[in-house]
Amino acid sequence: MTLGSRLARWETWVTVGGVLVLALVGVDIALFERNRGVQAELASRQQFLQQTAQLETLQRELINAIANLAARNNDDALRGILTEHGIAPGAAPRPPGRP
Amino acid sequence: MRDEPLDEADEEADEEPTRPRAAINPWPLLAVLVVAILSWFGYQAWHLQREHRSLVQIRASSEAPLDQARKRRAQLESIMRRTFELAQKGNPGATLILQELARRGVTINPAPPGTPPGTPAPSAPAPAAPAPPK
Repeated sequence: MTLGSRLARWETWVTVGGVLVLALVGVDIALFERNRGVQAELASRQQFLQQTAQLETLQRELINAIANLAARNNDDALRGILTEHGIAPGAAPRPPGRP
Repeated sequence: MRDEPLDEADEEADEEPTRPRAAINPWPLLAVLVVAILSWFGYQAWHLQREHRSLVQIRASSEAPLDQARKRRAQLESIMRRTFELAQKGNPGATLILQELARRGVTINPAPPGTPPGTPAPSAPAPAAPAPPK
């Protein structure tokens, strides 16, 4: 094997490796971007869940207020709001996630 | 006189045959470098793929609580809207509730869901509810 042909072989392998490196860099960038998108979506979901948890207290108080006022004033219209949403007047709303 | 020994030494050095320098082949070194970089980026790709799998799992496991949260929020919005409508019709109980909510800084936006944000709402409160995530 001549020196020239050996050099050519090295050169070929290094070139192939370099092309693979470039391809992998592209793949890594794509994977990173994809993960970042999913992470952003998860963060937004988490924020939504936290905000909903904060609204739970408000919802409970609102339902209690409606139920109390409906009972006190014998207000069928107010009671109707609760029954429309499947809430029995007088029954405390169930916290989410608890059967 | 004092320079003589040095001159002799120089002459001897000149007479020595110059050794041919071995040509350094850069390709093996370059190949090692390329293999190292390839390994690093390959590992990164594997790691990112693994991370993606775990993120997808987390997303799947958050579907149920998210659905439940959406339902709860829709229910709250609907109750508030109906209360607001009743108050508009002059129901004293609903008006009292709205006043109490307003006192706490809770405002109701009677616009139906899907109304683009920024649409003027008639004097109305809205529990600042961000759009549910996908």
